[in-house]
Amino acid sequence: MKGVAQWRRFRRSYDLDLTGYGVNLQSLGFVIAFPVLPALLALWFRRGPALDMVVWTGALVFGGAALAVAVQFWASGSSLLLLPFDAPLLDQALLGLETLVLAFLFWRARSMKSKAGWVPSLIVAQAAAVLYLDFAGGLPKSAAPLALDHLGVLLLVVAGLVGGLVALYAISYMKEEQAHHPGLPDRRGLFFFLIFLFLSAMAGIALSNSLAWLFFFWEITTLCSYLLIRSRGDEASIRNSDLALALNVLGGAFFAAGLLWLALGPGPRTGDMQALLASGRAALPAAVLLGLAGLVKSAQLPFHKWLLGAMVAPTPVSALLHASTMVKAGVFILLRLSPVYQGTLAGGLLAGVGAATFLAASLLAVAERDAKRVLAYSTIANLGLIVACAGVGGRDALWAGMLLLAFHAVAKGLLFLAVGSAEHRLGSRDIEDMQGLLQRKRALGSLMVVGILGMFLAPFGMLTAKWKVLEAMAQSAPLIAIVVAFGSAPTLFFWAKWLGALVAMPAAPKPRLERIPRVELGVLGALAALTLAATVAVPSLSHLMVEPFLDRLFPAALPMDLAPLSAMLGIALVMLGLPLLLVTAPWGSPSPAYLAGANAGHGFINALHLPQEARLHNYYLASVLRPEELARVALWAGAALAVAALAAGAWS
Amino acid sequence: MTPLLSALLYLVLAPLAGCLLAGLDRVATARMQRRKGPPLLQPYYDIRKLMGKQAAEVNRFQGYYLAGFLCFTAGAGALFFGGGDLLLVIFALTLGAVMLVLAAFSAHTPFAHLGAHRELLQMLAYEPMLILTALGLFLATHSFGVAEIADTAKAPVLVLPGIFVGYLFILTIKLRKSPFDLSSAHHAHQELVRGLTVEISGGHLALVELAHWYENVLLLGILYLFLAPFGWALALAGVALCYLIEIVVDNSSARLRWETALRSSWLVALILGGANILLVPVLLRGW
Amino acid sequence: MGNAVKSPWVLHYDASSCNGCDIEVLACLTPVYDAERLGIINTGNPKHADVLLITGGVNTQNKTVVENLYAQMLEPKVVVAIGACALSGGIFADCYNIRGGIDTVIPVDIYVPGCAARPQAIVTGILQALAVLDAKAKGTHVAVDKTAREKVCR
Repeated sequence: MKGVAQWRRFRRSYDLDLTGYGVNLQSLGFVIAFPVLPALLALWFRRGPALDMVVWTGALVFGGAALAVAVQFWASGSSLLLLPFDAPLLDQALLGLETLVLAFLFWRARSMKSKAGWVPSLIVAQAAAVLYLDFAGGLPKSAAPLALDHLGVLLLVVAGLVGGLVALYAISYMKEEQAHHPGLPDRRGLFFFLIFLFLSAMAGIALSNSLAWLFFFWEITTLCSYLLIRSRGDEASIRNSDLALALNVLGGAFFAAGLLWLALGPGPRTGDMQALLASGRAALPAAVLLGLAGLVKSAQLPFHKWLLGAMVAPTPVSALLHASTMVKAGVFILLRLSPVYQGTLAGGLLAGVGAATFLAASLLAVAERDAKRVLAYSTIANLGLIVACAGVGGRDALWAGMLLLAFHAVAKGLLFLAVGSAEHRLGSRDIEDMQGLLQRKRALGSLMVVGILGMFLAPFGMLTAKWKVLEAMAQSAPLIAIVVAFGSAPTLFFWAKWLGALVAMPAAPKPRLERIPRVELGVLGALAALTLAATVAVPSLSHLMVEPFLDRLFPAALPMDLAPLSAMLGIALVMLGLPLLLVTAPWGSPSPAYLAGANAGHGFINALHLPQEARLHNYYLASVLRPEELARVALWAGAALAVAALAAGAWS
Repeated sequence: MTPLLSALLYLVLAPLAGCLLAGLDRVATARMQRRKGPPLLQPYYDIRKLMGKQAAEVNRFQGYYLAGFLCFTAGAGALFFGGGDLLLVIFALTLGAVMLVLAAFSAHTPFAHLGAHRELLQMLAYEPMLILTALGLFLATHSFGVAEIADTAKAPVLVLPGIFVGYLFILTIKLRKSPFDLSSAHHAHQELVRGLTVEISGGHLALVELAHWYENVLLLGILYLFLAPFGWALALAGVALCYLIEIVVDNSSARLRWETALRSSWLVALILGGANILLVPVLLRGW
Repeated sequence: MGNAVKSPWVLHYDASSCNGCDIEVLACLTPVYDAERLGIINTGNPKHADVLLITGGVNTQNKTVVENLYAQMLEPKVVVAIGACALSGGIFADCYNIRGGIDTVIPVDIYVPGCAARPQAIVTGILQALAVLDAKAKGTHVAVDKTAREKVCR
């Protein structure tokens, strides 16, 4: 009878529409739970047109649902929506699933090649912690496990849009993978199962207010990431998936430690995120531990190696998990906890980790030739910027951090997918082989160019956000601003270098490349359109998606001064108008290259009086940067800062 | 004087000022070498000649990139003289510089490619100090807006001596003067033949020259900001003195390697710029 | 629009000279003769140059180089052949590899005799070349003064 009463209470609660705009438990639950359906169907159908249909429907419905929830929330005008309901059966089901997941990870960790004994032990410790916290009542249950605010909606929209688009891209990409490697078993069903399971977990992270639920979804993303990195099955994949598992288990351990502190420590004894935020400084140790978990998930120093290794996975995995969404979960936690960090030494040290990561990763990207590794380092660097914003806190910094989260997800997703398509056509990921791509494949080349421009140049959103980061840091943390200033320079260098390779127009023609599938081009075009539209609409997006959140957190602060952005808009208009010059301006007379007069065909006559072609490569500055040493120094610096942050948080 | 009027005046007058600055540069250099040198208006004759010649191009996109270079550089200057946000001015200037580099990259010939890379290395060298200059001016005057910085009561140069010297250091790179004229040296010198501009000629080269004039006026304008509270006569005299110092440095030093340029610029930015920024609160109180 | 008379940019090429005339050309740029008074800049790039100062005779190896450099220069352009070798091959005229003076491959507008040609003569030659350049820009036909060349070859 008690079960029926519980069920009846539950049924009454999920119809509770507090906003009048359709945002209720039903819609949120749908967004989280729906992707499980296409996941299971993908596992069932495994290949063929049925699988394609499942993925199309799943992606479109999930994206649409996420957008619908977002639009309804924005239209409602509310700033924070807590949805209280009591579902002990659901809690127990999640607990059971979590134990299963941990058991599976334990089994995989035991059979790791590297035999790192601490990984299985940490998993066991986490399982014990979970059982104590949830089963034995160590941590009180949150009264409103799901909550909605602008930050969560931002992550949800990013996961929905970018996730949906990447899933669509993956249909075509994985087909080509199968065609290129006929010897490998066709595991596309499992692949899409994991993708949709992951999307469900991301929605869960965005919408969870209960720390226990957040941890559950967190572990699901670890599982998905591990299995997806491993999907190709070769030696490099296995090695790197083990590394990713090991480090993410460490992150999970940090998370569990934070929850244990909340349960056993002197601070607030709550399992509710909003309650934790409300306790402020009293919850700082737990916040720092959760923050460290976020640092691991976002591949910050010293935990960044796993992201670089994860680049062996197929491109859609890199785009979705390791650029746009999963790593965003880490900085999402940090942004959420930012009000607790603000003004504390621990927060400053966390910001230091972020800034140091930005500088080191940008420098290391200069020395890389593999396009995916450059993108990985760039991702790590930009996540470092967001971490710095979260650590320092304050209105401007959080504004910049949230915008960076959104813009980076879109632009980096675009770039990863473009590199994936290029890799399939060129047979290589080397940037040197992408020379002249704009000329050889106009559509793909221009989309890749838009992606790169969107990452570092005015007037695009990333630059606007970085501008705000510098302004915010100048006010609150000049030391961080100095580090960001130094990190911006190598960023410019490696993007401009890559851009230069793309726009090159060699005189000697290169062999034609195959057509790019229309689905891939469509997805790339959609992401590029999003980048461009978001750039022009920054003030409107800010009013809609970011400022209400900040108004609630900082009610006394002055309104944002976005007037300088009109200058950016002017620049954007000029950029769009310039191509008209191409059509209308008279062009000069064609002329061969300057080769000291020794021109011969497309090349020149060399000192031995023989014809030779000039081969032009980019600079990688290995002699100046000394990448191995730099990486080692960066690792130790990051470790020192992270330990210091932990100590500062513990002794507060 | 409304911001729009200032910006328009800049767009009209900066080429004249830039032309005279370039001419002054060449005449002063000549006199330092005990020779007569060209007439003061020589840069104008150069541009007039270039505009009369049809450009030779290796591909049809060069003009587009160069038009972008001119538009964004002039736009950055207009934003500056219109009293805009100093950081945005720097980023707009960066955008223009990248367009110039892309023009050279698109040519894909040995000298242009190397010149483009040298230019990127120069940008890598001076970018931190440039951003630190904006940060320093913010900390000294509590605003990023150029109009507010120009109106400040205490001269920034007294609060930001390290940043002032650091800015002068990278000004050598931005004005393309020895020892750091690595990508495409001034007219009288050659580096990589013409480096960045080797495949750019005729009317297109005139665009590049014009853009350099706009940029030079903007760079000297930032220098003016450090001295503005002393009154326009003294400040202009100070700026002229600094420009003369740059010419002296240009004529008395040989070209150094890019590794040296990079290391020295970052060291100067870190030590002079970084220390100054951290000491600004002390310096502000001290005076 | 404007022409190059007030801003003659020079491309200096050594075809097969012994470097005597080249040193004299470089002397023109030094403070004593100061060619920059006339707005002359030694740019090494044919695409930037209006005046081609060429020394030495043409041999089989650099024939195509001279043709390429001349072709890459933009109109209007003038060629000044400096020194006896550029006029006719000079004392190397009978060597197996020397084809002759510069005008065997490209049209020459001004001949500056001498071995080595003096800087004063070179500057005079450039000034005369500027008159030719002016006439070319305006479209008037100019006859080439071959008297100096004739005197050397006799």
